[in-house]
Amino acid sequence: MEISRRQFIKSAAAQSAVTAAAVLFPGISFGAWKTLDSSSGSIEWKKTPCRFCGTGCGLLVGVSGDRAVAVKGDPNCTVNKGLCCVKGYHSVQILYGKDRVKEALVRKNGKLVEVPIQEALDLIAEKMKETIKSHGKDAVAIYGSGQWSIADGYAASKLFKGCIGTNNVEANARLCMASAVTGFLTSFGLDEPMGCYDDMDHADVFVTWGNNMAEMHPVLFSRMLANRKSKGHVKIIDFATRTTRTSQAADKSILFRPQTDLAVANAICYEIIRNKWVNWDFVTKHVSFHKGKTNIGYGTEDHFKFQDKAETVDFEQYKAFLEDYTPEKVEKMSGVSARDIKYLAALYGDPDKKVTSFWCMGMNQHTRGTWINNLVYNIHLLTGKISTPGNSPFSLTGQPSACGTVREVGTLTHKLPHGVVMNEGARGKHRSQAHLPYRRDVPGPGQRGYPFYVGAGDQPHGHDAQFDQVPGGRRKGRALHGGVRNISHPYL
Amino acid sequence: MPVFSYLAYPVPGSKEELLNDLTALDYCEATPADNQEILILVTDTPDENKEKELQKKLKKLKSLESLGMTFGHTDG
Repeated sequence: MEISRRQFIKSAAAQSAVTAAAVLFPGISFGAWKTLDSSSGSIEWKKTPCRFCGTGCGLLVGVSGDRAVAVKGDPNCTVNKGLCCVKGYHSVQILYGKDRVKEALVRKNGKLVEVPIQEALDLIAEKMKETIKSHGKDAVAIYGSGQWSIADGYAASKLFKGCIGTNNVEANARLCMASAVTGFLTSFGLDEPMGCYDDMDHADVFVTWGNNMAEMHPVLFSRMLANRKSKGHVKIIDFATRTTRTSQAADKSILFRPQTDLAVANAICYEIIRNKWVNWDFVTKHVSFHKGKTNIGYGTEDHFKFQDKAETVDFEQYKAFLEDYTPEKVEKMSGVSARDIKYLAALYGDPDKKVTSFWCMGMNQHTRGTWINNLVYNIHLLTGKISTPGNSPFSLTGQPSACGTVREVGTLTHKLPHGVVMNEGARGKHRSQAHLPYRRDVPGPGQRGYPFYVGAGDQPHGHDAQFDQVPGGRRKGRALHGGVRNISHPYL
Repeated sequence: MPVFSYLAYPVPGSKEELLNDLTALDYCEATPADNQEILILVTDTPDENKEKELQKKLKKLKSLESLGMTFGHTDG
C-alpha cells in the first residue's frame, strides 16, 4: 500500500481528533472514520517506547521501506494498553520535520554551518581543554534534563565528576520536581514515588489536585475513565484553581483560591480525625508525627537561615494543630464550601472506598510545594490508604527520566548514583561503578540553580556547547543537552 | 499546505446541519460521532491564503458553536 506524506499527515490529524474526543467522551465512536488500511502487509509494525513525556507509553511504528509512515498505541503495553495521545501520534511526523537538526552545527563568522559530528566533538573537546587550562576545572559545566536517558546521565556524570573532577553537572529536574523529591524525603525518608499505574484499575475514587490530567496526562486519564465506565460507581473529583477539560469530565469540580489547598488538606485531616476515620491499625504500625520547620522565609531571601527546628510531636499535638483548620474556617480562606470539604473528607475517610490522589506540577511547582506534598500524604497516611491496590498518593511526572537519570544516576551538582558528592563512601562507589582507575572526584558540590549559570552569555540553545568570555563571569564553558533553555528558563 | 484537525461542537440540535455545512465547504472532511453531539473536522488547504479564507467561512457557520483544535501542521 502506498501512503503519501500528505495522506499520512491527514491520518495523524484525524487520529488526534479522535483521541481528544475519546478523552472527553469515553466510549465515543466514529463509524464513518476511514482508517489507513494496513492489511496489504506492506507496513511492518515495530515496537518502541514514546519518549515525549514521563508516562511511558508503548508505541507501534509502521515502517514502509526505509520510512516510518504510521504510528499507534501498543495494545500489549501495560501502561497505555493501546491508547495514544496527540504527542504520540506526532512522534513519527516529527522525524521528518523540516526544522529538525540532523547535522552538527557550528557557528562560523556569526552563522551556524553544518559540520561533521567528529569536527564538532573535537571542537568541544579542544575548547574544554583550553578553558580548564586557563580557568580551572570548575570553569566548565554540563546541563541536562529528565529527557536524558540513563546511559546519557551515566556518561555525563562519569566524564565531569569522575574524569574532569568537577561537580558542575546539573539538570532541569531540580526545578521541575524539587518539591516532589523533598516531599518524598520528608514524608517517607526516601526519594521514590508512591503508587503505580495499576491503582487506576482498582480505585473507587480519584481526586486530582491542581492537575489537568485530561489534557496533560490524557492516556492515564483515559484509564481512569475506563475504570469509571466499567464499574459504574467510580467517582472523579477535580480539585483545582480553574475549570479545565478534567473538570468537565469529572463527577464533581471543586475550585479553590490559589495557595489555599494546604488549608483544605489540613481541614480534610481535621474531619478525618473528628469523625474517627483514622485507620489506627495502620497509623500505630507505620506513622510517626513530626512538626516541620514553618519559618522558611520567602525563597529568595538573602543569607536566609532557619531559626526553628523540626521536632517530634504526638498525635494529640497534631490534633490540636488542626483546630485552626475546621471546614468552616477554611471555607473563608479557600472559597471551598465546608460542605465540599466534608464531602472530600468523607471520600478519603470511608474505609470501603479505595482512593487515589493524583497531582503533578500544580503541587510540585507550588510556592509551598514540599508542604502540600506532605499534607496530601498526611491524608493517605491517616486513613491507611497507601501502597495497597487502588490506594495511593500519586505524584505524576512530566519527563521520561527525571527520577531515573537525574535523581538516581545523580546528574545534579550534589548527587552521585548512590548518595551525595560530600560523602567519601558514595564517591568511592561511583569510582567503582564507573570503572574509574584514578581518583579525581571532589567533595564540594557544584553550584546550583542561578549561580550555575553565572558567567553565561545570552541566547543559549538546546544541545549546544557554549564557551563564553564574559568579564567577571565564573562559568566559562558549558554544554547543554536535552533542553531548550532560552525557552524553558529565559531568565537564567 | 496547512493541515488541521478539530473537535467541532454543533449548536445544540444542529449536528446534521453542521455536518452538511462542513461537507459543503472545500478542503473540509467532517466525520460525525455515532453516539455524541460532536464531529471531527480535518482541513487540508493548499496554501495560507486559502486557509485564512476557510477560517472566515467556518466562523460564519450558524450551525457551529465552537471548534477545538487537536492537530496542526504547516509545511512552511
